[in-house]
Order: sequence, then structure tokens, then C-alpha cells
Amino acid sequence: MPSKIKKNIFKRVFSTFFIFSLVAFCVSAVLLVPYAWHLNKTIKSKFDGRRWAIPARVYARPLELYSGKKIDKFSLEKELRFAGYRQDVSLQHSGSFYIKDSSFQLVTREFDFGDGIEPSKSISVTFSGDTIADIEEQNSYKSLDIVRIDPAFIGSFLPQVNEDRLLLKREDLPEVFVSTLLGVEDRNFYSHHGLNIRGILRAVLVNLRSRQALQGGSSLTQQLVKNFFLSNERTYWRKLNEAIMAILLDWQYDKDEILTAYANEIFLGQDGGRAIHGFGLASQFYFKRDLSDLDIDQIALLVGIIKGPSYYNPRKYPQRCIKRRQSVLEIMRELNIIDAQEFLFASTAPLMDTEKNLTGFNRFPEFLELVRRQLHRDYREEDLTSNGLKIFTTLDPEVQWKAEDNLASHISRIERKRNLEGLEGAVVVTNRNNGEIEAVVGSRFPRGGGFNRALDAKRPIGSLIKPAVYLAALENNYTLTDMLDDTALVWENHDGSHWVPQNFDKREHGAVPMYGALIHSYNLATVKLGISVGIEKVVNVLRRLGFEKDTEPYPSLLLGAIAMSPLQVSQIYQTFAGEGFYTKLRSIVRVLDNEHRPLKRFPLAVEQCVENKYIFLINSTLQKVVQVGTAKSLSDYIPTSYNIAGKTGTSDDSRDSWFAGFSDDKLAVVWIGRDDNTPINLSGSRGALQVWGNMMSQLHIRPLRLSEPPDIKWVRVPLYKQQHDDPKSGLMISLPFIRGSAYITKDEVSDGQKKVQGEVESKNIIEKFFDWLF
Amino acid sequence: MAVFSLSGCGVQKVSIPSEEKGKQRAALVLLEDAEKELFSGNAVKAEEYLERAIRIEPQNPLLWHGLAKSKLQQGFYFQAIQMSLKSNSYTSSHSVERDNWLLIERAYLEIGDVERAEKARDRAGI
Repeated sequence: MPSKIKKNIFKRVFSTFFIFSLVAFCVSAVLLVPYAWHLNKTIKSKFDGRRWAIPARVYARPLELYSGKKIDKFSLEKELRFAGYRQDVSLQHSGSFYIKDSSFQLVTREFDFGDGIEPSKSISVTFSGDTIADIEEQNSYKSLDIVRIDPAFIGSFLPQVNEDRLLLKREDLPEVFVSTLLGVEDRNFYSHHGLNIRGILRAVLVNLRSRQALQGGSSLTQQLVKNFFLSNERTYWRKLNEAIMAILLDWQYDKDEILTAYANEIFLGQDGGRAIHGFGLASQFYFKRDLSDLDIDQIALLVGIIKGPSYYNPRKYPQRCIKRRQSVLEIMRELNIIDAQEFLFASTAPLMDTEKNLTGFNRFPEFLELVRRQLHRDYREEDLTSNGLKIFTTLDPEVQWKAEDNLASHISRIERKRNLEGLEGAVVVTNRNNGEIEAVVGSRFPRGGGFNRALDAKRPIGSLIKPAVYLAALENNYTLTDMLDDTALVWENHDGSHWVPQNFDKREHGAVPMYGALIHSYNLATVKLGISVGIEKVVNVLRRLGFEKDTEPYPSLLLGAIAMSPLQVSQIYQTFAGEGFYTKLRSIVRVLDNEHRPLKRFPLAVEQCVENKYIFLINSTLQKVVQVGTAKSLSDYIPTSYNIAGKTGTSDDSRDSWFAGFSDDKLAVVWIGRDDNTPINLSGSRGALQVWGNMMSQLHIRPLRLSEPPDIKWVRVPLYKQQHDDPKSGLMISLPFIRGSAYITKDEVSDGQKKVQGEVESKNIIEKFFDWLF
Repeated sequence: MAVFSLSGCGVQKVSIPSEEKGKQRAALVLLEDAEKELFSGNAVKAEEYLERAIRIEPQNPLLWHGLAKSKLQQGFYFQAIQMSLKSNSYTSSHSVERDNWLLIERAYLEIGDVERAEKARDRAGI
């Protein structure tokens, strides 16, 4: 009996359990299927679509190496390091360099510029002083005419999540890396169905014992799911979601596709405000190499830090990181991924190259701001932050560094010396010949991310306007020796108020030849000249030179009572530097899409807006400004033989100090002032000129050569002197004239004799000039 | 002034320091690449080479003339004219100047401005 009862009870319990299980299964199936369907929708929408928002990557201009290029070894090394090159005596991998005696050996990286792929080359660069003497290809010993180095990365336009990554394809993942990753994280990856059951069981055991959710034991698929779709919380509910989604993902997608997604998604470190995601970017971030170029110890390190990128941060906790790397190396050895020798070698390798030198990430926020504004004319914000655009800019890192350093150090010096405070400044440097913007400095503290004065500080330009006034005069039949009247004047405005301009030295200089008034920057003579030529004509010249805003023709305009940003001033002076050809200033050369297909080019374009002969007269006089005029002190920085053309500018009450000028290759504009517009008591020649001179003297500039139009004749005339005490001292100056504007007999040119006889159109004025002199 | 001796351009050679020679060689390589691209009808690619060359030798009239040809091939006639004028501002060679004026003539003819085209032809001295 008892055994029968026992049997019945067992039977009843069993059938109850069976029915209960069946019901539970049916209920959960009914509930689970729609839930899984819902989860699957989430997976598909993200996995089938574009998986990541890839921020636009911005690059500096590529460095072109050729024999004759001015660059010293130190600057080349700095540039290469900035472009992610590392010193490595073995020169085994692309992106490495080594300095040996007077030669520089490097292995360039293959790079797709959008106008063609530049293959990796192993080259040796020899120098002669600070000039490249020769470039030789290492393998063939062939001399190379030109080598283009892959450009430095200078920033990303990050979306709000601040994630950055470099996308890899499955074939970009080296097999040693894949075996190591799977060996450490998920050995059954290729055989399981999304879940690593053994791993889970082990984790459950550990967690039950400790009564906390300590261990993961997750498969790669689960980790991917967690990173992709779920939060970081450690709950069993999340774990359940993770498991279901992992199975669904595994069911529907190829293993290699999941592996590649994992390699691109995983978080591997933090670089200030941006999160480093994926092995492509992490490899660059930690080692400045492509993943395919990594050594075994480096692969071990990267795989090791998956466990905790902050905890094992190699830069912060090198000992911890080495220990972790060792554990990974042991696994690699155990799985025969590496042999005993490789194991030994990798175990003793230092954590090299992990020092964070010169990260290019948003290193030049002021230049990037300009790039962003230019791009916004063609692209939406979303295009910039998520479509993986590649933006090739004109930034020259060397010029940018020098501009930043010089502005900061000079302003500090001026403040100390003159007991001033609160000075600010801005610098714009462009390529004289093609309008490419090489540097933008918007503050003496350039990385503060504050007010970008180079673009946004609109300040009166003072005497910087004068070349435009004199150009208008030359276009209207004046010559450089025409006499002007530098005496007091009172201008009555429409409202009855008076405008009483003054010279900087508060004196009147009487009759002054036109070139003298420009090189000494006389205000009274300039105002009278502008009024007699017509202020409208000056406004027209300004517009043609590149000032795009409408300007009211007030007489105070003639003394620069017009507010412009340093960038706008650069645009105007670019036309002087371009010898009458307007070239729109550009910060971007081209934009490529994620697959390196060209999307947009910003080609070089020119437009002649002033005749060569007039601009030649002005530029020649601007050279005299530097040789004998208000910018004479530039010779403290740059030899006069460089024939720099430039102009100082000082606004009313010395609130703004400007200098704009150009060499054969670079145009630079410098402004110094205060944000609250209070006087700084610095003239253009005292403040901005010094920054300009010092900066340009460090930039390997070339002496200025102006191209002389055929209808120019040079005449030596007595030099106008500011002091009248000795006008006949015999100092002469050569001045250009347009044929026909002054009559010159053929044997008179440059022979040192004073045989100039002004004739034809300008007879009376030239006569007056000589009357005044003798 | 940087000068090359290229067929059809007949520019005379002058003695120049080795520093300049290196630059000229680099620019010449790019100019030759550009010429090849122009010949194959890839004007944009040619332009890319020429812009690189101009960064190295900005006052070489042949490079600007090359840009003018590339603009003409692309149908950007205004820019073709401007590039030719720029090229002329850097040259003292009559043959380069003539080539530029002839190119300006073609550009004006394409635009349909016969009067200016004729003037350009006069300047070319033909």
C-alpha cells in the first residue's frame, strides 16, 4: 500500500509539474515571441542601417618634400610626430622614421588623398643646412623629385555623444589579432549560437557565491549587443535581454560581420572629451600605427585593455597594464598563437610609444571653427558629425604653431614692458600666391575655445586702408610724385558737426609727394587726396579688393574708420599680394566621402580686379614703407633685402595696432587691441609689427619679388625726408612710373643723375615737386 | 623667374641655384602628370596636379597656363581667361604670352564674344 500511495503521489506531482511546465512554456512562448520580435526589430534597424555616426575627420595640408624645400630637421621631426609618425630604428613599418647623422630616414604611409593613392615609400632625406638637398628611395637608390606625406589629423566634428572611431573592414583585422581577441574574450565564438554557455555557467556560479553580479562571461556577441543596444547596468533583466538579442543577432548575421562590428564598436579609451571606439582608432591613439602594423606586445595590450580601458590605461597605470598584457601573452602562448621566442620578446617589450605627444585632436579649434563655417555653406551639421567625411584643409601646422607662440609671447612682453594688461590679439597667415589660409590665431590663449578674434573681432583698420585710397588715386591719373597738401582741414558733416582729422604726430607737413605721404602714413594728405579723387572711388576699390560689405562713403573712411576682422583685412591684402588678382581665401581644398570618393573640391580661382601697373606702383611703395617709412623697424627682424611690402595701422586713440604685409610666399595680418576697445597706446609699428616680424623671421620666408608689368619705368628721385633740415643731402630713391604718366628720356633711368623731367599729363605736379625740393 | 624648356614654349634657360632646380624638378614632374591627364581628358585631375605644383613654384607661368587649359577643357571660360592673364603677369616669354592670348581668344569665342576674341588674337600677334 505505502508504495502504491507513494507511486500515486509521485505520479500526481509529476503530472502537475508537467502541466505547469507546459502552461508556463506556452505562456512564456506567447509572451516571449512578441518580445523577441520587438527586440529583433531594434537589432535590425541598427544593424542593417548605418551602424555608426562617423564624425568628419579634418586633416592639415600634406607636407610635400622635394629637393630645395626649406625645412630644418627639427621642424620635419615635429611635423612627422604630429602626423602620427614614430621614431623606430628598425624602420619595419610604415609611419616610422629614424634620424641618422645628417639624413632622415622614413617609411611613409599609404594614403588616399582623393586625387590618387600615394603608396608607402621608404625614403632617405638629406639636408644642406635648413634645405632639403636630396630624397632617395631606399630600395632602388633612385632620387625622387617629390614625395607627399600623409597629412596630420587635426580634429573631428563629433556628434553629441562624442564618440570617435576609424572604421575597419574584416580584412583589415590581422589574424594574430583575431585569434588573440577570441582566445581572451570568447574561444567558442565561431561555434556557439550567440551565447557562450560554459562562460555563462561559470559566471553564474561565481555571482551566486558572492551574491553579486561580478562576472560577465559574455560572448563577443553579447558584449556587442550590450554596447550597441543596452545600458551598462548589471541586472539579470538586462542580462536576459542581452542573451535573447545575442541569439537573434547570431541567427541572422554572419560571424565575421559580428566580429567586425565588435572590433569597431568596443570602447578602448578616453582622449579628453572624445571617447576612443574600435581597434582602428585605438591603434592610432596608443601606438600611432594601423592595426595591421602592430607588434605582438601591442596587440596583447589592446586586447588586454578591453577588460577595463580606464583601469588598465597604459599612460596612467603602466605597471597594471604590463601585468594585464602579460596575462594576454600567456594565453597567446598557451593557444600557440605565438612561439616561445615571440613570447619572450613581447614580454620584455616596453610600453613604447604610448606617451601622448601632440594629439591632433582639435588641436587648432580656431582654424577648425573657420573650416566648420565654410562647410556649413554646403553641408548640414548632421553631415559633418555622422557621415564620415574627410576634409582636407590648408592648415600648415608649423605656421600655426609659430603664429600662436609669437602672438602669446609678444603680448606678454609688451604688457610687462609697458605696464599694460588685458591685451588680446589675432593673426591670420595665408599663402600669398593661392589664398590658402595657413594659420588662424584668434586669441593669445588659442586653445581656450573662447572668442575667435581672427574671425569675429571687427575693429577699425586705421591706416591699413591707405593703400586703397592711393590705389584709387593712381587709377585716376595720379603719379607717386604728385604733390599733396598735408595741412589741417575741417570737414563739416551733414548734421553740422565737424570732423577734424590729425596726423599721428599732431603736426602738419605741408607739401608732400604722394609716395612720401603713404610711406609716412600722413592722415591730412590722405584725406585731401581721397576727397579730391572721390570717396566713392575708394569704396569701389575696396569692394574690388575683396571687402564684401556695403560701405558708406564718409570721409573718415579714408582714415580707416571702418571695422573689419583680421580675416577680412587678409582678404583685401591678398589682392595686393596677388598683384591685382583677387583670390578668395580658402581653408578647405577638398571633401571626400567615407569611401574616399571626391564629394567637393574648392579649386583655386583668380580674378583680375586691378590692373597690374597700378598695383605694382602701390606694392613698390609698400616696400618703401618697410625700407624707409613707418615700418622701418621691421629690419630688426627681417633683413631689408627681403623687400617685404607692408603697412602699419593704428586706429583713433591707439585702440588698435595692426600690421599687414607679405613676403614672396606668405601674407600675414596681425591685430593687437583690447576686447573692451579701450586705448592700448600702441601704434601699429610698436605692437603688431613686432609679432609679424618675429613670426615671419621664423617661417623660412622668401624675399619678395614683384612681377613688373612692361609699361613701367624706374626713375631715381631724391628721397622725401620727414625733416626739412637737409632735403638736398643727395639720398635718392627709385620709384616706378607708368609710361606716359611722366616723360622720361631713355638714358635717364637708374643712372643716379637727377635728370627726371616730369612731362605730359603730370608736368605741373612733377615740376611742383622739384620746386619744392630745390 | 622659374623657367623650363618645354616643347612649344621655347623658354630660354638661365643659370639658377640648385635650390631652385630642385623646386623646378618637383613642379615639372607635376606639370607633366597634369599634361598627361589633360591629354586623357581628366581636367579635374590635371588641376589637382597643377595646384600642387603652384604651391611649389607659384610664379611659374607654365603652371598657370596649364590651369587655364584645364579650365577651358572643363568649360569654365571665365576662369580660363583669368588664369591666362595670371600666367601672362609672370612671363616675359613671348611664346608663353602668345599661347595665353590664343587661349583667351578661344575662351571668348566659346562665350560668343567675338570682339574680345579678336582683340585677344591681336595681342597674340598673329
